[in-house]
Amino acid sequence: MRSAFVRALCDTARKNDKIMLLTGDLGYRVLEPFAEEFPDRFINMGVAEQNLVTVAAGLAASGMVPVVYSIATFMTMRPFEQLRNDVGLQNANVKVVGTGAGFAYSKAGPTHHALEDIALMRSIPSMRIFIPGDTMQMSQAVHAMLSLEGPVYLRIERDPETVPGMALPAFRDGRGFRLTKGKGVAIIFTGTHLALAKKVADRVGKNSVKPTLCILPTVAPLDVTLLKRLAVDHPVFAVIEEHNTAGGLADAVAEAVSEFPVLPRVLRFGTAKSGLSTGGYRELMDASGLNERWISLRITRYVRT
Amino acid sequence: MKKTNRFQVISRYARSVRCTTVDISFRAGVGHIGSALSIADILTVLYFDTMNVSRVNVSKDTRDRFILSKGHAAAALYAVLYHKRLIGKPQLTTFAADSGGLCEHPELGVPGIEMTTGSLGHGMAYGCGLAIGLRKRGIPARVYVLVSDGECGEGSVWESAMFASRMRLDNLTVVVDDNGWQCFGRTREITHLAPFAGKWQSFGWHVITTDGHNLAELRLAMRRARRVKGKPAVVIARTETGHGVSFLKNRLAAHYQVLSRTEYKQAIRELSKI
Repeated sequence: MRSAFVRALCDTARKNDKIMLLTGDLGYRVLEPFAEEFPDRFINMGVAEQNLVTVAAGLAASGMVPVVYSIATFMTMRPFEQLRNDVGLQNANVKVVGTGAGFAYSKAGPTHHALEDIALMRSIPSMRIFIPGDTMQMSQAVHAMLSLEGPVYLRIERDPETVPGMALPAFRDGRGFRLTKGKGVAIIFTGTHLALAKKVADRVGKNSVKPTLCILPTVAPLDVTLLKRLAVDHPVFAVIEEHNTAGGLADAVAEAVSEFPVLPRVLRFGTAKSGLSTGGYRELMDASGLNERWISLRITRYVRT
Repeated sequence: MKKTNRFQVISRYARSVRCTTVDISFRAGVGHIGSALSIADILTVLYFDTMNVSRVNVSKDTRDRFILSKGHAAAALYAVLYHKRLIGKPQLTTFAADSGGLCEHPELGVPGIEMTTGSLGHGMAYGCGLAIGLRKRGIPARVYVLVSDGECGEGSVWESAMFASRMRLDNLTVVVDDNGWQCFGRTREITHLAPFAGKWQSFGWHVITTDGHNLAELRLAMRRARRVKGKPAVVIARTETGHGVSFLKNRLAAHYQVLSRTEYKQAIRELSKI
């Protein structure tokens, strides 16, 4: 996913000489293609995230189009005030890229697990949030974010598993997509979780009605129109994300549907406090209950009651 | 003859800026008057002598840019923007009004305001970004950022200081309002800046020190800063909080004090004589 990001960034930078890439001293062996092709537009800002973000805001004010890059924890937490004030409040044309989100840096431990970044970025009103589901959506999301004015947070998650026979639709700013047609339960996910969501859908479908599978690669602005249409014949939404449920996609969906005339129930599946702070990616996901067995079991039990 | 007249003009503006600062603060019933008066002369020199900014070019790329990183002193900035005719009387009178208008801290969107500030420690990085961008686009405009001494307690100030010298930003000048006070007491008791000039030098800056209320010295200092090549320059201006008002000057209370009508009248009387 990171390579797709850099390729797309280089592609757009060839057409727009205002695009710059600023990194917080991260991205070794990832960002080199950009740095080598555009050395005068690449700055390693060092380990100084507050400076990184506000310098980008100043660059945007001078007419450049800066992209800032770091691991999602460091990109969103340390410089949050700078993102809120200097980028958000001023609607600065800064693109914020947080890589290794969720448990991607599994064995690096909790300081590297970005489980709050969506919540933080959601709290900035002018900040769009793009979480592409595969390398093709990544490329499209990068083009989209660099062709619009205003702040965007691009969350780069762990590489997806391929799902034979299933391809994601093209990314479009603000749009969610129905991937399969079902009823009763709408399984909604974001990011690179097609494989997990499909396995959950298959298991639920065996025990009860076949669910509808949806992806929301844009978390802000949320595709409320799609949610309204789903609410008509899906009394249960099951939202899956590699992020704390507090403030993440599940909360965004729950907030949106709370004003619908027909109110779906929202089951929320995200990362949770568990006994495991470090370990393999699968182990950390399992400890949070983010696997097809637990999610489908909970959905099935809920639907039966 | 011409030079003397120019200086007289600047001196008259300085008096007007100080008086307007106190005037709008009194009418709005807000504090921070001490902080605003400590920078009034610096702003006068910047806007009426140093910087290339006016009604003609305020929206153009070619203008010099000023960032009040010490955002709580906004009254002084609005005063100078008013006397520079970048904002009019109707807008000036909205300072800290209940119905909205000019905020107690500067907001982007007001003519002449380059950045929304209020949280300390952000202005220098923004100035660095502007400086780099202007240089990349081949625009010879300069960037000025005013910070306070207490503000230099923020780590972000030093992140930006390291960065600016690394990037050789000689189109960036930082001015420090070194008035010796911060919210809870004297700066030297709370934020150990000394050796202050030495710190900036060790971060790769060219250091100029000046009396922050001597208009002639200030003009010279800013001109010297402009001539520095290959590194950014910092003008450390020794200032006095509440300068020009006997019951405000060099007192912690000046940071917070809301003037009564009697105090306001006395302040204007004293400021009109300088």
